[in-house]
Amino acid sequence: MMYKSTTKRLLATSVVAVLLPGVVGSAYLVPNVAHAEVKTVACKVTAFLVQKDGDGIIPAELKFLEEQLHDDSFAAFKGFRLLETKALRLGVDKPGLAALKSGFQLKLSLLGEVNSKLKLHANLLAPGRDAPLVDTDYAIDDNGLLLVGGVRHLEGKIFFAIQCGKQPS
Amino acid sequence: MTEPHFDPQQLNAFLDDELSAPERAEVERLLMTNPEASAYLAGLKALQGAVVAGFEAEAAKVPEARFEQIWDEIERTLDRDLRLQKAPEPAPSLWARLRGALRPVFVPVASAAAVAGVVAVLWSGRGAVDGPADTAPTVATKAAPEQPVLADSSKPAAEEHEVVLPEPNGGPAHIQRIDWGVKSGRISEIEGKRNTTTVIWISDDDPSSSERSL
Repeated sequence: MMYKSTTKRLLATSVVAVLLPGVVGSAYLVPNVAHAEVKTVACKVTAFLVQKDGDGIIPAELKFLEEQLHDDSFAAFKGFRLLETKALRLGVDKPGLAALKSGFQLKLSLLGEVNSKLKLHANLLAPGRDAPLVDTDYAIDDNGLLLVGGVRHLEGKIFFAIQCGKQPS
Repeated sequence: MTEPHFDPQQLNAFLDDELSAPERAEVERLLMTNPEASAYLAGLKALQGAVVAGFEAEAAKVPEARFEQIWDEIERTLDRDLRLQKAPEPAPSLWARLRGALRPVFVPVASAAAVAGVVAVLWSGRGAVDGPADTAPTVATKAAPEQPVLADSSKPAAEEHEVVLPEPNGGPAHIQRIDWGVKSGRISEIEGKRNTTTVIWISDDDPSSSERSL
């Protein structure tokens, strides 16, 4: 048997009894520390056009989307063209607006952080329309990517790749 | 003791019908001319007969069901061996090995870990108290105190270069709320090797024409 003597048994019990409040206290305090939320994120908005006609080659500026554009979802499209890239810095209560040359406006807001995921709000407005095309709240991994689009736009369909990552505040 | 004037192995093979035609003919000639060889072969035949008869007598005592039991047992053994070859006994897990190693010193180790945990929490707690805690996420769409930061293309390019993000990674986006301002829309996911990307597809029948050029 491990603890044959009563002295050792008492010692072990005393140590655990003394440390137990500490462990319980730490369990209470740790969530507060973990709640330290992200204050600032940087976002990159990439507007690109997809067309049915094209050579299927993905330009260098869109290489980071190669995997997505080669997916069956985009099989109908053979032409890919970068339209514009915008960079935004968002803070809590400090939304950003990407006003694109195409007339589209993408408003992004940082809502906070939930379970290590960024909670964001996106609102996409088309030119000449009052109501947004889409208005959404979403949670995503740090540096995760969201694609929004499919709206007809003159020569094809326009998409927006939204990527946001935490920044030191 | 004199060596026999024949090859016993050859006679064994003759008895077992393992010889070629020329060899067999040679042995048959030998048997006609060599009584020793004939006697040796007769002995072999007698021995073979006795052994076979013995086995047959033993087998006759065993019922058919017993044979099936034996065969089932052989099959089970073969199957078990095959399974063991395919799935060798897994090594004890890291946790099991750790538990075994730590068993004699569990209480001291647990105590030390608890002390370390308390110290770490207290140390972290000091830093957290220094700054104001901002826990509740604020919805930016409510009356925001500041105007949106306009990322206009007229701004210097240097400002855009300030944002440096790594290659996109991570899992799909969790859409918590979505309002469509169009007739229809859908959400899909693209499974990639590096990550999973959520796509919000907007289906708008009316072409969205921009007066500005691309």
